[in-house]
Amino acid sequence: MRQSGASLKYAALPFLVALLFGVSGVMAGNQSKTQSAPENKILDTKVPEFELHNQTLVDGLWKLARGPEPFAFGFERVLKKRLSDPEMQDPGFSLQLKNKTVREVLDALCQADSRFTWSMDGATVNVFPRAVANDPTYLLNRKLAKFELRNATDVQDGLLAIVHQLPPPIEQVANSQVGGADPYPPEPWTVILENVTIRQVINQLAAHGGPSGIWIFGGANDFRSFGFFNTHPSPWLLKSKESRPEDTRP
Amino acid sequence: MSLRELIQTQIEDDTKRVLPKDLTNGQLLWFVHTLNAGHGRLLQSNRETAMARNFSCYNGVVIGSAFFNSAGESYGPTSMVAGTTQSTPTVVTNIYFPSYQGACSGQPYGTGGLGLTYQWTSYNINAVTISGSNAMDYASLYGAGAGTAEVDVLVTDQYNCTAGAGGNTTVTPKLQLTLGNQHGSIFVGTDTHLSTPNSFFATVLPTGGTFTEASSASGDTFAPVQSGGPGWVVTTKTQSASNGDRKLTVTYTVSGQNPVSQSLNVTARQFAYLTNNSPSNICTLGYGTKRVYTYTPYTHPDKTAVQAGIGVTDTAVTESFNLPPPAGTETGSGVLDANSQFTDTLAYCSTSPLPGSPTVTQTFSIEGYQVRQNTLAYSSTGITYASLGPTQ
Repeated sequence: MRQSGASLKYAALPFLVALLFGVSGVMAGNQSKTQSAPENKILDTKVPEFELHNQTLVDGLWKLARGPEPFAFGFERVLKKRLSDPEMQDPGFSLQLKNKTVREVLDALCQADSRFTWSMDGATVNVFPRAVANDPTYLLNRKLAKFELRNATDVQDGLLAIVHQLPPPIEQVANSQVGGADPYPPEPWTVILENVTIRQVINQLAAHGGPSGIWIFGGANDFRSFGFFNTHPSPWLLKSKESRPEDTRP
Repeated sequence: MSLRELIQTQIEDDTKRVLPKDLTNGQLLWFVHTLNAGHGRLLQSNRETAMARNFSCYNGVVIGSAFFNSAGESYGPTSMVAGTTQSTPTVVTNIYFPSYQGACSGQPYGTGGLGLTYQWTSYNINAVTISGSNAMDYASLYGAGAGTAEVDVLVTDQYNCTAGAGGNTTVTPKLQLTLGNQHGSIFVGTDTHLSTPNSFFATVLPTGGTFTEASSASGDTFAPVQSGGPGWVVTTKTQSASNGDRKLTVTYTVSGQNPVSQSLNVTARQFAYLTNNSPSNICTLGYGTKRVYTYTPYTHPDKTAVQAGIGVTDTAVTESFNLPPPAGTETGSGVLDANSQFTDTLAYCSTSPLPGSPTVTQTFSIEGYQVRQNTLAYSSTGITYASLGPTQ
C-alpha cells in the first residue's frame, strides 16, 4: 500500500495507486486501498526518544530507520542542475521528540526541511523533494507499464533493466557509493512488475537485498546516481560468509 | 579331635604348653577362622557306661565400633563447596565374639561383619544432604548450601548391635564465573553492542548474597547485565598490555559466612587494524568500477582476528574522508555483522562516461580507533584503491 505524508495526500494521488505485492512473479497496482500490515507496523511504532542536533533530514532518516522497528527507505536528494555546480548544502536542524510514532517523526522531519515530503510504498518509506512530486519527467516518477527483470544477481542488473525498458533515449544512471552494501542473494532473481513507477521499481530492487534496504538518489541532472545500503543483511548473506574468504594483508 | 588323647599323650600346643595329666574339667571354646565355614560339636563319651552326650552352641560375631577404613582414615570431607558432591571414606566395623549370648562386645576378632545395615544422616540438610542411597557403607554428600552439618552413620548388625561414626562437614558458598565468550576476550570501547562479549556471569549457591566486582585495571566499570544475571558488563577504555593480563574479580558474601572470591583472566582487546579480500570489478553498467570489500578487524595486543560469532554484531564502523567523494556519491557507515566483519562497497559505475575526480583518503574507525586508511583515486575508469594500513 502506498501512503503519503500529510502534505502530499492529494498532490501525489496519481502515484498512490500503484501497489506491489510479493517479490516475484507479476505484481500489479490497484490491489487495495486499505493499509497493509507492514505499513501500520512501521508507521505506528512508537519511538521513545528521537533527537537531532544540527543534523540533516537524511541523518534523521538513517537514525529513525535504525530505531526500534528497522525499516527500508529511499531518499531522493534535490538534484543539482549540473554535476559541476557547487554542492548544495542541506539545512541542519535540531529536533527533540519523545514517545512519537514513526509517522509523526517523519512528519516532523519533513516539516523541518520543508523541501521534502514522504510517502509509503509497501514496507518502504520514500522521502523525496516536493518540487518533483508532480513532475512526470522526473526519472523516479516515470512509469513503466511493465518492468521485467531476469536472472538478476546485483542491483545494477535492475538499474540496467530500467534504462533499457524506458523509452529512448537511454537514461543515464549510476551506482556511486563508498561504504555499505546491499548484496543480492546468490540465486538469480526474476521478477515482472506492472504499472509501476521507477521509484517503486527501485524500492523492490533495494528490498531484494534484505528487509532493511536503503537507497539514496542524488547527483545532478546530468549525473544521477544511486547508493544502496543494508545495515541488517539477510541471513543468507551471513551463511554464505561462514567460511571467511582468505584475507589479504593490507 | 580327642581331648583325652591330647591330655594323655601331652601334645603341645603352638606355645609348647600341655594340658595337665590330671585334668578332669574345664571350659572349651572353639571356632574356625572363616565365618560360617565350620560346624562341629563337643562329644563326651564314657566307655564304661556306654554313654555319650553332645555339647554344642552357636553364636556369630557382633560389631562393636565403627571407623573409616582400616588405614585409620578419618571422616571426610570436612569441607566442600556448595553445589558439589563428595564421597565419604568407606565405614568399617570392628567385630567381636560376644562374651555371652546377646552381648554386643567380647573377644576382638577383626573387622567386617555379617548382615550389616547402614543409615547415614545429615543433621543440617540446609548445608549437606545425602545424595543417592543413604544405606551403603559410604555416602555421597551434596553441599546444599553454606554452613556446617554433622554427618553420622549408624551401622546395625543382625543381632541389633550397633556402631556409629561420623564428623562435621563445612560447606562454603559456591561462586563460579563464566565469561560471555569462549575466547577470553573483552573489547575496549563503550558501544553498547560490545556488551555481549564484555559480559560475564556468576553461578552461586546459596543465592541471596551480595557481590562486589573489581578489575586489575583502574577505570574499568561494571554494570549489571540486562538478563541472565547475576552478571556484569565490564566497560574498559584500557587495552591489555599482554594477553590475559586483565583480572576481573568478584567477591560473594553470604550472611554469616566467609566471603568467597573468584577471578577471570581476560584480554582487553582494542580494535587495531583490518585485513580485506581482493574483490573483482563487478560494474556492469558500462563505465567504471564496483568492488565490494569484506573487512576483518584485528585487535591489539593479541593481533588476532575478531572471531566470528563472538557477539560484536552491530558495533558501529564509521568512515570519514579528507575530501568529499565525487558529487552524487553516497557514503554510509556500517556495522559489524555476526561474522564480526563488515562490507564496504566502492562503486563508481555508470551507464555513461564518468567525470574525472580527485583522490580522497578513506578512514575507517571502530569504537573510535582508526583501523585503516585507503586512498581512493577517482577517474573516468572508476576507482583505484590502495591501502595505507596499518598492517599490524
